[in-house]
Amino acid sequence: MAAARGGADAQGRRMSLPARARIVVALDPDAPSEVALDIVRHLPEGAASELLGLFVEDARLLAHAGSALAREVVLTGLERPLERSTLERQMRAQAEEQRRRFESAAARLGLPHAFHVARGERLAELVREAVNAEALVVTLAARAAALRGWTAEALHELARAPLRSVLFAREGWVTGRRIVTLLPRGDGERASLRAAIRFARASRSPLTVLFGAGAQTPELTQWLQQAALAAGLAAPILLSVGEPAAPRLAGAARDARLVVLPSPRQTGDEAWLDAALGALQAPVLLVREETRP
Amino acid sequence: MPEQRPAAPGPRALPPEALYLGCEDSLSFVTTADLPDLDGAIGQGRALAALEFGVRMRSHGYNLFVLGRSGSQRRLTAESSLRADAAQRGVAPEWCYVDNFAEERKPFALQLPAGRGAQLRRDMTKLVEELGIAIPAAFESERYRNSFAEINQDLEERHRVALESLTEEARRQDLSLVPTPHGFAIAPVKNGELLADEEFEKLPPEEREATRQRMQQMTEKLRQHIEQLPRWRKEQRERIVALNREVTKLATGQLIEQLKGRYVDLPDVLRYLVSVGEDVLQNARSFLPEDTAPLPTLGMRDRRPLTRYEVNLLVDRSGQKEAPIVYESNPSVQNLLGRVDHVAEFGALSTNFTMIRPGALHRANGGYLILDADRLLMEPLAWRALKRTLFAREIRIESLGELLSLVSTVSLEPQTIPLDVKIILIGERQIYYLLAELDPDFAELFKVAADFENSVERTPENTALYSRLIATLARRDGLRPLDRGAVARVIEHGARLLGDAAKLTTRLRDINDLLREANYWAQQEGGASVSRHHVQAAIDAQIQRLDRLRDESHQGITRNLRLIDTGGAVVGQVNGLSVFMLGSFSFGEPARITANVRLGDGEIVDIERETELGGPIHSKGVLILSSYLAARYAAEMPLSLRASLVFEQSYGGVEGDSASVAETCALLSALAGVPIRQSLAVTGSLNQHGRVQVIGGVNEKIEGFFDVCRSRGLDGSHGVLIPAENVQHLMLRDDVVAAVRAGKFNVYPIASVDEALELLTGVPAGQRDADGAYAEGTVNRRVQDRLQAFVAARRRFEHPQEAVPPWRRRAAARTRKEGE
Repeated sequence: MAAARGGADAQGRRMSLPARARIVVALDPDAPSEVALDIVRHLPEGAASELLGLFVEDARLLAHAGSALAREVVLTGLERPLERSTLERQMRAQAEEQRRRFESAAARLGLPHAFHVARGERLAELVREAVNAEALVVTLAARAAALRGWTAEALHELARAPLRSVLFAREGWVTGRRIVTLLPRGDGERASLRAAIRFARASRSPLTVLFGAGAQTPELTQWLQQAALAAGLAAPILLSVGEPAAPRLAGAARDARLVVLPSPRQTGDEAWLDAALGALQAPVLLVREETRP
Repeated sequence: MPEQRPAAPGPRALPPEALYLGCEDSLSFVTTADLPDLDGAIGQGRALAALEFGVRMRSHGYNLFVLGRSGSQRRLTAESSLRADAAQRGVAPEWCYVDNFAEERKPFALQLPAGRGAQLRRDMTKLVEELGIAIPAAFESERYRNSFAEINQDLEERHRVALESLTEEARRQDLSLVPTPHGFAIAPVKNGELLADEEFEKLPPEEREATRQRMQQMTEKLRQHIEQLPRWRKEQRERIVALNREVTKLATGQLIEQLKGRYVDLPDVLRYLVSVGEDVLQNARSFLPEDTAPLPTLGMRDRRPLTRYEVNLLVDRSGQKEAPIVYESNPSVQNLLGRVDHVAEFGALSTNFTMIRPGALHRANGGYLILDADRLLMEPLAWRALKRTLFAREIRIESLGELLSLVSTVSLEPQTIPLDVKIILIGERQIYYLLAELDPDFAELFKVAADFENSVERTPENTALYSRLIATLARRDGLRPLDRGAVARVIEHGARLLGDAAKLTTRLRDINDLLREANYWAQQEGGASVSRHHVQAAIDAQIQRLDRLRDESHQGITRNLRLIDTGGAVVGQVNGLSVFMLGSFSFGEPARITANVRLGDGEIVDIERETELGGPIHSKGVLILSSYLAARYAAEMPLSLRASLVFEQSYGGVEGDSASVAETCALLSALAGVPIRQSLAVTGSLNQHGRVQVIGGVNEKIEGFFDVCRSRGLDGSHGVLIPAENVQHLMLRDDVVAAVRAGKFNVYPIASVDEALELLTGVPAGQRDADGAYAEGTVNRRVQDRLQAFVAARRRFEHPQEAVPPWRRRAAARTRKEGE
């Protein structure tokens, strides 16, 4: 169940948002949002948008707590009944902690922000809140990915959700060096390419462009070089990777601090993408191509 | 042999030549510019031999105590002796402190040959710089990042696979597995939906039981999985640690190996470098820039990041060729043993090995340390600390606070440093003798005494050497050259300072001062060289600056506030002479001594002693006087006398026996009723046989009486009687000598009381004849008669029935026998 929009909530669970561009940041207790916010700062829309920190109380989990048969095994190895009241108290505490950390990080970066708690199925709530937003940001910390069920299936669903862009934030942002983008087909993927150029410019990172089989055309190459030049970037590295495959992409993006990919809804059924989302260490930004050049 | 002066002619007045021993004629140079420098000391053969022995004696405990008066160039002479040995001994090793990575509180001490310490310090600085480049580069390399990511991925993959496997298994068994804030929840499902409690109750019992068992089994598997997570994370950390070590080792190994190659001859340094390599492996994070991405498994950044690789070189001996000679002017415990500084950090005091500061013993280790004994003994605990260090033969740095248990701040315990040093203590004789008597450790640690003479014989050879010494001192201070007359006057003043014409002072501080001040007067005159009158001006100015009390005292006499007769003759009254010591200045003046006699029981009352104004030596002199009187005049009869002696108008203490001749003369004058000439003064110490013995301050005493007489007008009758043995000490002022030469003043040497009596009274003293009687009219006869009269009178009082005393009866019988 999502909390009602508009108006202030005395308990701080809901804050109003002014009508302006919005970026939804999914808050996860096991994935610190600091890295995600730092990436957001470099998003082309980041500076002009407001952040909505969204904490979803998992309705499915609450449903489990309604069963007398449900058991919980905590991380110390202790086994106990799953009680609803306990679970709700834990969720409130988590939400409060997430709010504090999110607001602190957003304020430190100078980003306008708001915080919202929703209750429901997690993926559905994220998509619902982000469907009109500029972007949805999900942090895929290793621990979170392993323990919290950001499974391939979940990533698959998010990647294909009707969102403008989805950012899967990872710690590779800190340790990586270059911005890497892949054009599987090359016939209309300029939105992701533009996003990659702007990221490269904002983060002062070199740009590498990977082309799928037959994607690199003279016209696209010329356009790319001119765009890079206009952005004040060094000449981008252009590599052809053939038919996109997860291992190939992961190898080519080994030292990437961000990988920008076109959203699969626009490029057909790229099964390789689900595997790539799991294999890549760098953050991945999926950009939906809304208009063809 | 000593320089000769005209022989003293007995009781006759001394000729002017006997009053001052000049030396200008014996000097053959024009100015000191003609004289070569003098290396070494004059007349200090004994001390120099001791120094040479003590310096070369390498055995434990052969430290030196250089004793003598201050200002006698003991330190310079000792340093000169040390310098010769220092060259032979060669340069000392260097010591530095480095971090003990295993135990920070106990830094290691490293010994290196001279110059290598600075080299090690530079090398370590360079190594740290190079590591600061190599290590970040290694951790930023693609290889490292890939390996790092691979390890993390591996763990993540194991998680993922295990969880997916569990989730899949749960699904197969109609169970739901979902994460909770603190773990995972398991619940039964049916057709993908959670099984409600009511539905579960509707299930057949066996199915419910089967569901419960599946739940139990799944729970157990989940718990097993969770329980192995810490182990997996530990494995992950260990792999990353190993990776970091490997990467660091690859980046640093060659640098450290290269460095080790430069110190293959120094095993301790090699061991240190090995520990540096190991520490770098464990603390690679210290070399990463502050803004480097957090790499959790690289460990916490050390709070003293790179200082621990510094080298704290205590003493840099680069370029030195000889063993060190160190003089510590402030020998406190910390200045001797070194100290550990602290800095305040957030209200707490902290320190590390780079804050260890060396002491004088560190600087002198391998050489020599010169200390002033009095300063050392006045510093709290310094003497004890020095002794302990010398006994232990190692330097252990301890703070004063720790020694006294005053503070409990955690400090360092630096490794002790072996000590090989020769200590040279310089001090006054009194300190040496006190230490030797009171401190049993002293003899153990300071086996060699170098005793500096206070004076040297004034031989022609030494006079020539003294001239060179004066030339050397003048040149060293950049003074004008001194002409022959000036040098002679300085030498003569050197004798006068000692109060001995046959000696020269070794207290060169006074000579140095005189040279500088004479140079000042020459400069005032614009002279190119210093002449005799400049030296005299300097001496006069020195005296003038100090003689305010002498002037006051002199005025007291000339205004008759203190009664001193310098003419006429008075019974029982004589001019004695005393000396006042006022720091470095002393002067003499006359003191009236009077005596009264009357019938009594043989007691001579020393009023000074009775009033506790007389010191023990003065009292001793009076007792000798009593003994002399009784033995000479009353050997066979009771001494029926009561006499009193007093220093008139003396309101302070009187010490010394130099007035005992004067007191005797006053007493004998009173007994004999013979007046004493007040134009004369007398000084001398008396022995029991009436011999006059040497006294001190003879020059000042003569000059003191001379000044009083001159102020009243010299007429040739004035003079001073001095012990004959004191003639050799005479170095009188020019004006005194001139007055003597003009016949207006006299100095009489006397050897006995009789000679003094004759000069003072103008009456023969008288010698005993064969019968033991003195001739009529002599002083002694009168004394004897007066004493016999006292005896007779006393007898009359005590035994009125006996008209003739026994001794007179015995004398009459003897006369009768001789007649028969």
